[in-house]
Amino acid sequence: MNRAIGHVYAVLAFGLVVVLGFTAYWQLWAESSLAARRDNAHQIVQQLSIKRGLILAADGTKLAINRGETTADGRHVYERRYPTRKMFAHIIGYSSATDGRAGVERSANDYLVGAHTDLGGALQSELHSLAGGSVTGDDVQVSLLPAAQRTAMSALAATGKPGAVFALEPRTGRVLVSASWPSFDPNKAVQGSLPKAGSALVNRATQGLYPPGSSIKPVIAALALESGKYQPTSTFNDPGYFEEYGRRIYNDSGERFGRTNLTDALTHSINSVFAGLGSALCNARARCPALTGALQKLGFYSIPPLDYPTEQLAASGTVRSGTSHLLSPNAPIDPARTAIGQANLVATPMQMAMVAGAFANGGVVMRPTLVDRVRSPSGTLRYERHNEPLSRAFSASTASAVTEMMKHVVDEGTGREAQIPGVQIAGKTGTAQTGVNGDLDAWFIAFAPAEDPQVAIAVVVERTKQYGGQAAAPIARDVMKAVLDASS
Amino acid sequence: MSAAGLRSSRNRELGLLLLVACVVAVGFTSVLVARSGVVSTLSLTYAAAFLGLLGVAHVALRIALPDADPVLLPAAGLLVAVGIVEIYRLDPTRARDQAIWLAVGVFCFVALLTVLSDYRSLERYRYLIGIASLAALALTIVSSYVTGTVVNGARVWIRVGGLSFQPGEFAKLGLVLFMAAFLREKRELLASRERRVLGIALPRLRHLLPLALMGGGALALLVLMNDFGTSLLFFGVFLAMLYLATSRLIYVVGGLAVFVLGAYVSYRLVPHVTDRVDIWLHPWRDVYGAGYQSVQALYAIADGGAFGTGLGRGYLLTNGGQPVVPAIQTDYIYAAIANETGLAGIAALLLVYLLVVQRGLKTASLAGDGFSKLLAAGLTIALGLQVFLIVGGIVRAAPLTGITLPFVSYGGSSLVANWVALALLCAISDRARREARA
Repeated sequence: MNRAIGHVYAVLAFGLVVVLGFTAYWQLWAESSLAARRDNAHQIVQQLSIKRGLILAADGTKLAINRGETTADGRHVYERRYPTRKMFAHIIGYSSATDGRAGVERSANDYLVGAHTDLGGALQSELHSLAGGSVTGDDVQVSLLPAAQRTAMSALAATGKPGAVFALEPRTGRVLVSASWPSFDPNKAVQGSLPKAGSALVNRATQGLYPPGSSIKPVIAALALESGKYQPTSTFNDPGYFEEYGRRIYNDSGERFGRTNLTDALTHSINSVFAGLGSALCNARARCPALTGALQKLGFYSIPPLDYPTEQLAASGTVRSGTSHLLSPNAPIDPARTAIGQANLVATPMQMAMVAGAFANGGVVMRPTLVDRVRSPSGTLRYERHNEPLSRAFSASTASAVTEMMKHVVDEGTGREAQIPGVQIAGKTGTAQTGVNGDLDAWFIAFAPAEDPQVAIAVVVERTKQYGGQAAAPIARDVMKAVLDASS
Repeated sequence: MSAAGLRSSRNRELGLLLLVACVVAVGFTSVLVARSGVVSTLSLTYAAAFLGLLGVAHVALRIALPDADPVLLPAAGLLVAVGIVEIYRLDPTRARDQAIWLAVGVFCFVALLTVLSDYRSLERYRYLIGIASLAALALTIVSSYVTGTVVNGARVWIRVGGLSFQPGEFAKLGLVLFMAAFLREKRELLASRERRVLGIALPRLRHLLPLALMGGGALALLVLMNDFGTSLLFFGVFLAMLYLATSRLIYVVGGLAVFVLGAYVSYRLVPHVTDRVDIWLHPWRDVYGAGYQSVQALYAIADGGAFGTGLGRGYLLTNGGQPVVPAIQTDYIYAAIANETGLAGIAALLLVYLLVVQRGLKTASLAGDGFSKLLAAGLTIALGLQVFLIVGGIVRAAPLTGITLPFVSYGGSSLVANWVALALLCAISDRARREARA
């Protein structure tokens, strides 16, 4: 019988080795793939046990804080709270155990969880956590101005239409305002009660693609000047329309200006002149590197290099008709209609703010940034932003000439609603047909003060019946004023 | 027998028990530190109380069975220690209950050593024990239908007043005893090759009939009690003991064939079994429903990694104090231990089980008579197979069988029954080792 006992022992020992092997498989090999699963509460708790760094606005306002709690079994857990609620929902985003992360909470996550650190810091935090302390992340300060953001959000809300505002500091690229309406409460995301999909979750300021309409005209004017064939005073004859491909492009409201010049054409946003310029700059050809190349230098055709999640950024440019599929800059375009911001040209408010910023900054596009600096809980500086030129879109003289023309737009043209007493504004309205119900997308791009620009801005109001000068210009005015008031 | 040999066996046992007490002290200290951040003498108190209980069993062995295997008691003590620390970490009230059950278990252990001067006298009562065991099971099933006591779909509990217990745990011991006696008596007959069927030599049909009844009984239990684990355990122990008694592989092959057939039929016909198999194969198909327990257990195990999250530091309870894995103190305590002690702790735990299995089978091979051999082996196989079945079910090596992890899981009936089994093993080893030395 002892031989049989030996066999039984072998079988039982083999069985125990098998279950040990399976356990080892789960604990060593499958660990990371299980950890990545969203229904895994252990990972969620691990995240909750980290005391994330604060997110602060430029003026020190707390945009994201932690609410600590001690659980029944003595564990410290932290939940994110967003005191400004809907105000910064899209741009700051949220960090939720169940709904993941978005916005700055996502793009600056490494800093916020304290993972982005040197060896000494890593050792220190490891020792701290061994001693039972919570891991504490670094505080992130962004360049957003709460006063101006608040102004933008309430102005957008007051229109009753969806819309967005994006403002930056032209000389540095620091983002001052990024507002998108409708908004949502990021505290809901923390509780896992966010709607899974919905228009309110889209950051219209960075993801919303709208035909820019006439707000693209300063770019065409600049290209005209750079070609050397035109001056601000160059004269044109406006018959009320421009004919291309056998079809007429009319001015708004059937206006007819007759003999006019380039400055007046921008001031009054005369379509026939700019459609003609577009056609002339492209030699009436569909492949037009002169135009698309300039757009590329302004940042079109690629995802803007903002320190923000790529998933929440959209590239501007020409799209395939009826889709949001971005075409290459070498794809054929409709030069005349592109020059008045129609014909499948679409842009985000952020991109148009960068266009305004380029004129404000002597023709140079600066890399846009959200994070100003990162500090450890003990105050050590971990990161500080610096100015970085992305490209020169226009010469300084062209930029200043176009600025002069854009001043006229606000002083006496379609953008008069944007005037701020005592401050010279340069701007351009835009009104794009959406092709639905006669609805319009109303635009205004601007910068101020024109002679010493502190803020460049783009405003869009969706699906309105009003023109850019009526719907968008007043919002741009209020937000720019809030920025100038905050910095003075 | 030599006095030196006696002393050395029991002294080795005492040394190992002191080691176990250290494990208890360290375990409780870890849990207390994780919970309240203070080192308290409370953990020493627990360790002393634990050592005191095991000390009683140790002294009983010194007096009654001086030659008993010195590893069995400390190994069982270590398993209980791991279990009680983990249960304390999950729910201190239940740890107190478990400590009371441990005291009852140790009392039964000592009582058995005292009352039973020679365990071999049990052989005489084999039919009484066998019938009593079956009656206990039948009573469980009947009372379950009468009172409606169904836990997790299984009819394995009897409720009397406020107390509830699982007669199946004791019936398991009784049936092992019965089989050991029965097979010792009939082993020659069962091993005989009197007839040939399809070229296979078999004993007479009337000798095979009781075997068929026992095997069929295990399957009937599956249907009547809805308890996959216990029936699989009975069947496995039955086959292994049959193999030991006859040394004929044909019984194992035939038994496995019957098992495969029975398993397939019950997979198709018994909804409870169908569910278990489906969860085993596709736990993620219904993560928040049927597969919830299995998946949460895997998450808990995986979260432990190589070295664990630390005793008392794992995420096993929600903020409201609810267990993250259902039944984490009973059937799923393995997941809790895997989470907090990691692969290192689990390897140690399984090695302790392997050690118990090795000592148990060593006792069986040393024993001089067939009944002792079969009884020691049967008790050991029941323990080893039970570990394999419950752990295999949790780590998805097999479908889940809701049974306890011997000595570790929370549960009075299981713990007390295991101490009774331990007492029998000690008694067999005492005689076997003395005879082997003589």
